[in-house]
Amino acid sequence: MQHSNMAETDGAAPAKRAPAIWLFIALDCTSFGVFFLVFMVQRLGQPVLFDQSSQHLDAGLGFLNACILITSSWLVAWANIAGREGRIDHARRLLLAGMAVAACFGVVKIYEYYTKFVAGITVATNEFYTFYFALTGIHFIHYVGGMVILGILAQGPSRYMPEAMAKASYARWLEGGSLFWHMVDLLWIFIFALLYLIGAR
Amino acid sequence: MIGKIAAAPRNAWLLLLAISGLSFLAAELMGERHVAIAAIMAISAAKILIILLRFMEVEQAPLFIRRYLYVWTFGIAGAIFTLWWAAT
Amino acid sequence: MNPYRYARALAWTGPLLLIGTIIFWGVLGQNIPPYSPALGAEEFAAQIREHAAQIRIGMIVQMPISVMWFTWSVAMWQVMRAIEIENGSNQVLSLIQLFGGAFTTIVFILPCSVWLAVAYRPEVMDPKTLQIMYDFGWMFFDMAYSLTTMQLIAWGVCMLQDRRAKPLTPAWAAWFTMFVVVSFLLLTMMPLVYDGPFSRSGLLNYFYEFGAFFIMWIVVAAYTLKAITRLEQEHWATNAAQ
Repeated sequence: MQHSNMAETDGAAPAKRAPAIWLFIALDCTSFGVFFLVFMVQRLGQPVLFDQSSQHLDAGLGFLNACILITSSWLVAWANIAGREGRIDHARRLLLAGMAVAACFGVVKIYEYYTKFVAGITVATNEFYTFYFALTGIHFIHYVGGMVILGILAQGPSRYMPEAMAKASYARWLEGGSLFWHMVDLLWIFIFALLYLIGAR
Repeated sequence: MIGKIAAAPRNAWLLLLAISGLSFLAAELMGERHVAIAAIMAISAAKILIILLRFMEVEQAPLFIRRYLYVWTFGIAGAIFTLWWAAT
Repeated sequence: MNPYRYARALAWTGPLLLIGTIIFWGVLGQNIPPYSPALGAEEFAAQIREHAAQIRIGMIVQMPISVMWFTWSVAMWQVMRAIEIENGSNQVLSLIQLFGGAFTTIVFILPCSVWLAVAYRPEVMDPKTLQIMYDFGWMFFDMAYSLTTMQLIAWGVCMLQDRRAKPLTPAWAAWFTMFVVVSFLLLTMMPLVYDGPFSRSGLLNYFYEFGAFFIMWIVVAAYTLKAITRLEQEHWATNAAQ
């Protein structure tokens, strides 16, 4: 994965453009970081309750979802490389594959919420579950947003713009969109550890 | 070394799946909780680092953001472990 | 005529309202932080009765000064319009921002009237009635966030489209602002809990969200003032001869 050809296709643009999506990622990570720390601070006073509640979560499903997101993220990373090299159709196929894999994440997550509601567990059950629904819920909103972005990118460059302009614009959006998607993957890793793993057993 | 193994995105993918499995097993099976939690958080940080380097090509990001994301990754992992420890 | 006439005065109403809000809504209104939803009705009523006079003064002033959110939005609209005209006169974003600002003004005013009613004659009211009114004020205040989110997303997107070599508002300020208003999504949790960090007086949904909102307010206000200075300079540089 080299960026060496970016400079030729975009001229001076990356220096001006790149910080924007990166800044958003840094800010989003910061706010999730705050939630993680608040979770751990709230846990200080009631570790037993938090651990017992955590044991009611299915760590296997969390693990499955981590693998799903990693695989999807990997496919999207390849799509970004293909798009950068001008192989647009290949990129679009990889994006669709990435979305198909990621769709399983949504199915697993909704199944998980369903089993919780059936068991009578809601946001109000206890503080652990407030965090469980808040953290996974906010992450899920990011996931849905990411899927929409991937879906738009899978349509390929605009057919209405002049071709050169459309391709340059597509490469930029593909880069930004895939970065966002990797962040969705990356955040799940901490959420998985925090909610499912450290209280397991 | 991790950098070399993970150099190709394909390897990065396999590596990520493998160490995800490790952290899952550590959580489920390891008896010594301190070691298990330390391992889980270290593996989480390593996974995030691989994603940052191999999938996101963080080296292309502006320097201050790159540094910040490294600090964020290890800072959060370390803080979670410390706060877990403090609660025991 | 100078197209930025009045703009500076309007832009100052933003920081002015910020100071007023801290004093009248915050300090006098007993909103730093607000009463916890975990308080029992009797205890809550006792608190309100004790502080009724100062809450009344706070809300009586906060209601009329809140109109400055709208006048400030008009200053933001003037900056956005300048960018939009340069970019081909699509005025969608400035329109969305202006309506968002007008609606947000209502979000400032209406809950204050509810809290004013709570402080009007608490000594003769049933504590539970006081409590539901107070809750209602907070539900409206927190959960109408999409109006403000819409306003400031439109502003941020527009600022990113500025083609100046040195943009009127730097990209970081635009992204930071959009990030803060999107993070209001966290308030979704507020009506579901009665205690803890997600409650209306909690660590996340009060201290974090309102802290970020106030910092964002300062950032937007500062760059709106700066932008108007630059736009006026640009205007007189090209129209000096006339």
